[in-house]
Amino acid sequence: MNMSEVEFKVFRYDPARNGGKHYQTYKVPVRKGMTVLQGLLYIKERLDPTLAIRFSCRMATCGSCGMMVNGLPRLACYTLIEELKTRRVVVEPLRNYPVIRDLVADFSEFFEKHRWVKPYLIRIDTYTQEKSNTSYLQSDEELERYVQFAYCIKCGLCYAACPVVASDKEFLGPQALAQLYRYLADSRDEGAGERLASVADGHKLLRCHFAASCSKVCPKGVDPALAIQLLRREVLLRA
Amino acid sequence: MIREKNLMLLHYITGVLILVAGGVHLSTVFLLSPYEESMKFDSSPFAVMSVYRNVLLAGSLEALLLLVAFHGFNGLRVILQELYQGKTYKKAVSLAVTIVALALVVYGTRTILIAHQLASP
Amino acid sequence: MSLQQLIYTLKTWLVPFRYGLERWSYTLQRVSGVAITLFFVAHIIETGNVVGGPAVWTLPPYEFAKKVWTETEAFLANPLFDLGLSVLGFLIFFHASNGVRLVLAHFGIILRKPTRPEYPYRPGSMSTAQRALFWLSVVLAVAALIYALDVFFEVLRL
Repeated sequence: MNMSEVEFKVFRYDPARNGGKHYQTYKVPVRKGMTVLQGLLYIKERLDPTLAIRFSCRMATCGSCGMMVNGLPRLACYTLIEELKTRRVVVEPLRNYPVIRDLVADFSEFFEKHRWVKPYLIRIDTYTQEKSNTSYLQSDEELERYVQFAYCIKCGLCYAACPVVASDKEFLGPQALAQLYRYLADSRDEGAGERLASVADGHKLLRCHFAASCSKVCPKGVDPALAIQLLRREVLLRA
Repeated sequence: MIREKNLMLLHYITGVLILVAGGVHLSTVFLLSPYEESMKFDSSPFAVMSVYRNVLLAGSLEALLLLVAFHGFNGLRVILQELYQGKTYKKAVSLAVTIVALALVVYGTRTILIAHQLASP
Repeated sequence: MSLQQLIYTLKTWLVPFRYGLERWSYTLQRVSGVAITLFFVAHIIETGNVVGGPAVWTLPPYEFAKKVWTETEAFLANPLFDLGLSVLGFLIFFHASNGVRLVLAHFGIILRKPTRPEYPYRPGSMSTAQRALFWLSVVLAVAALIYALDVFFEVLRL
């Protein structure tokens, strides 16, 4: 599609100024290879400086610019306007998160759940863990068991896609559960017992129904659905 | 009360067992005899009373009753408890689901026991 | 929980577009499960009529039970109920075979092993085996639907 101009329909919401939730449209000139983030920055620089967006690396590695683009959770910096195949780009804040302002979502609950799963190596001998100057040895096979899940950039797109997160506040969510498995499967970790026991009861893990929407939208191929099923297997058979 | 992981294991196990008991039930109603004959009271080898007369078939119906009651109402409990997470709501849903399931099991067992007695004079 | 939240939740649960095959499986498994449970309740009540109804808790006269059941059978001979049973057959066969696939997937048996992610990503959770079993479930469910329609309405006897 050869187009020189695209219409951006952007969600606007400013609670500090008593503004209601509404959409504003902007006309944005398009070059080949332009991303949605570049379009939003054009709006912010030339058309409307009051637009609030979150972004940083603009190369799909920091995970800041997650938003709903034409109905699906995507990274704005990683989505070419051309790949949307439409002249109208609808941009909204990420689903299942509270909105702070415009396109900026509140990630505090997301990070709280991430912290809850203890995303660090648990060793019985904490003294050597902190004071030693030798590394823990790990073979390639042991690395392959979890390294895929270590690629997570905490962008939160999986939360926006998950149907359980939409209604269940106690569910940990795909990101936290994938990180729980990443540390469980890490051969250097010795906290398997307490990790498994922490999710054996309640809604934390077992409300996942394998809708796999998380893996569908993950921009780094982390496949949290796979981590969760492997974790579920461990919990059901071992906990 | 019961750990969620054990409830889920039971959910999987009852699901698989329902394949067996349900298979028997569907076979007696649809496969082993024409459907019209299966619906009659006692006039053919796989009519209603004939099934209750046979101890094994009646037993498999009872098993199916227990398995489906657990599996179905545990499923409803999961769905309802995903809608809202409050302490009283959660207990109310668990209680309600258990009561309805137990009531159905009692009623169904009564049907099977009385029908078996009725069918074998 | 507000009505708005409830509608949001139900829309998320029941509208499985654009998120892949497994999301369709999630929605259909839920809907079929609830439908089957509701049918189960009706079925236990209806089959209770084979001994004469909810008032009977001791051995009834044989002819009384036969009369009540024959009346129930006449009530159930409605083509609308037959159609409902056919749809239920579809739902039961889908729920059962998809359920088998879910048990295997939840234990990681038919999923691929974790590998380093190389673009374009091939998620191990969306393995060929697992997806093939989903389509098998759909095929079995449709077969059950056609069989039931044939039993009730003789659609195959052309």
